[in-house]
Amino acid sequence: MIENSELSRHVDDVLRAVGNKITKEKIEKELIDYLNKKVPMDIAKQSVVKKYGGDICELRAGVQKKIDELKSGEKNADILCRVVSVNERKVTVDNQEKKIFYGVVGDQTGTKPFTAWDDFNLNKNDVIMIHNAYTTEYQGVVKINLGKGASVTKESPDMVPSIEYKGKLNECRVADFREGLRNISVKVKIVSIQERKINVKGTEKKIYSGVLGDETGKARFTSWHDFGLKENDRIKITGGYIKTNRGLPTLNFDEKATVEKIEEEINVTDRKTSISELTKTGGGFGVVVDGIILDVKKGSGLIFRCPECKRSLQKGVCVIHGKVEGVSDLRTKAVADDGTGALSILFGREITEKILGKSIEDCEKTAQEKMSTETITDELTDKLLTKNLEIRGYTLKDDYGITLIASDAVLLKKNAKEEAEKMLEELT
Amino acid sequence: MRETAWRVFAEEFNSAAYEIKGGEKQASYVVTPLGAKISRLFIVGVLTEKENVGENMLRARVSDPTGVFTVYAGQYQPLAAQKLTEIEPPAFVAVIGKSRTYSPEENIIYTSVRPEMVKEVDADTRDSWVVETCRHMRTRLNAVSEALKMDPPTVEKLTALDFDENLAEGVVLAIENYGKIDVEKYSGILIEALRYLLPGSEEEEALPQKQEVITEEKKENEDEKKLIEMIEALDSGKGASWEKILTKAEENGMDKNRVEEAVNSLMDKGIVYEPILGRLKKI
Repeated sequence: MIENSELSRHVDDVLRAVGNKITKEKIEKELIDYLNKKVPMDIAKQSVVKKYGGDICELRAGVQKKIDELKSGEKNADILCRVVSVNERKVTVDNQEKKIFYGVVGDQTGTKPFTAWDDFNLNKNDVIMIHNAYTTEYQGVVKINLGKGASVTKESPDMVPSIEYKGKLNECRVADFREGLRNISVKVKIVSIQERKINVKGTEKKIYSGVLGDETGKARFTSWHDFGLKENDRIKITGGYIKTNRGLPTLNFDEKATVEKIEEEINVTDRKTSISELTKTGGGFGVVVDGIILDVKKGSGLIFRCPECKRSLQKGVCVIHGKVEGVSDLRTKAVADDGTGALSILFGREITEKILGKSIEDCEKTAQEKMSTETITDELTDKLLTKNLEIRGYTLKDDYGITLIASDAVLLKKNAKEEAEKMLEELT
Repeated sequence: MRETAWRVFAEEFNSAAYEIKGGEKQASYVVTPLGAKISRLFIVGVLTEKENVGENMLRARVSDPTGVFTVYAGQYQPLAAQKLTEIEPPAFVAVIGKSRTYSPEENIIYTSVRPEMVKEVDADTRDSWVVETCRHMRTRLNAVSEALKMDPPTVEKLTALDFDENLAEGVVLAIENYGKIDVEKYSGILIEALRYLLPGSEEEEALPQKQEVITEEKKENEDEKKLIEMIEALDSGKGASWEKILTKAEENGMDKNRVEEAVNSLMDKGIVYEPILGRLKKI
């Protein structure tokens, strides 16, 4: 049964529409009569207005709002709109499972997300009048809610033209990729692409993933639809979204996105970044940092790995496979610091050999002579500590923070005098 | 997350008079007048002297173009302490360490470095550090200058100008605690530090109104030159004694003030150092 305060609001609506020709009490009685016969509130109101010669448009005009006029905290808005999309979801409220519906509605002025807390039998492309909705704000976006007091009437489809849901298009560059960014429009070049088969609800589906980039950096991508992409293609993707995988922003796009080939040249480069910036943005795929090595960690140098699982052995023992015959490897775990932040870095055999200036075989020989691998660690520490290193690679994020996995690392020799002269010129 | 190792010159670090005390699991920070919020720092300079002070405690001095850092290594920094024991001054050293303060009375704070790592390095590493530290100091100076124009300065406004959040926090704290910051003084120090890297020949044409300053500077330089000669002449291995230098200098027409000034300047530049109290030695 409808509450009194609720009812009196509807009574006021009708009163306004009929131009005070009848009393409130009369309207209330009429409405209750309709409602008791299970007539929906809106029909009841319209019927009462018509009966007493009022204008049913008036019934709406007073409270009706356009989508872009809606602000957070509206209590009883009426919205004439088209359902752009609708999905259902099960939620548990007070230990009871309940179906709710969510999606996007829009009119000529824009689109907004909605949640219907009851089944209003909404279908995609329905043109509807929502009565008595309320709005909330989540993460800066105003959301329309259809709660207990709300009702929906179907309207003629020509009242709201069909809307292509665009939302706010985020035109951005690869360096701007952040978790949660949607509706992206970006021009990129495909650096590499692989086809993968995955299983979606029992059926096999082909997806395409790889690396793309522009002048500001590189990122991984996953295409859930075959757009016929090839390496070195230059394309404009409209309608992609970002998900992060171990801290790495990944561009996703599917059949709803538009992919067009473009003519303009795109020079893909790694993103040069300060360590504080890299930490703040949570990581990146093709990044370059320039820092001083302030720590070379334990476990750097000549190590032995389990032949089964490649884990590094502790005193000849693998945590999973027990005592095994280790396979030798070289690696470096260090801390780079550029004065704005500190970053863990990790690189493997090739780069470690380059830094040491000797091969893994030479290292093994030295270690055998000295009866210890520590001598290699010391040598590596001496070569790296306090030295300026330019490191490029991609980041991985775990509980301990971000680690930069290097694909290359170069010891930098900078000309301090030249730089000092330049700075003096700028300052004086 | 690992604390950033700040690049600061001794002058800026030593003028810090504000500390945020940490707790059991929280780092302490020394905030400099230019807003460096230091828990860890990375310095490179000349190890000019070292001395045992108390049991298991070594005090070392590391000089840079602007001043001298004091480094204390004790039993809890065994690796760093051992390295310091091994390195003979004068030598270029890199030190990574934690900022520490000592306050003998209210409103007086002495800053020092507790080393985590010490390494002997070469002159190139020192030069690179100086120029890198200049770059960071310039950023801090810019941030402070911008912040001084704001009423009140806030972290948000500074990060909107592209300054790191870390630095923005430090600058806001610095302005709260130091009030009017002498930006010009620090700009002067920055320029001096940059000049330090350039070849000694000062061929720039002097403007007429600066003539006097230049002659003054020249006189100082001559004093310093003479003193270096004296120190070398009087040094029979353990350094030249202060009294002998003074007597000799007075014979050459320099008064005590001028001698003290010149000696201080020489020590700051890392040209001479005190191997033991009261004795001077050329590096």
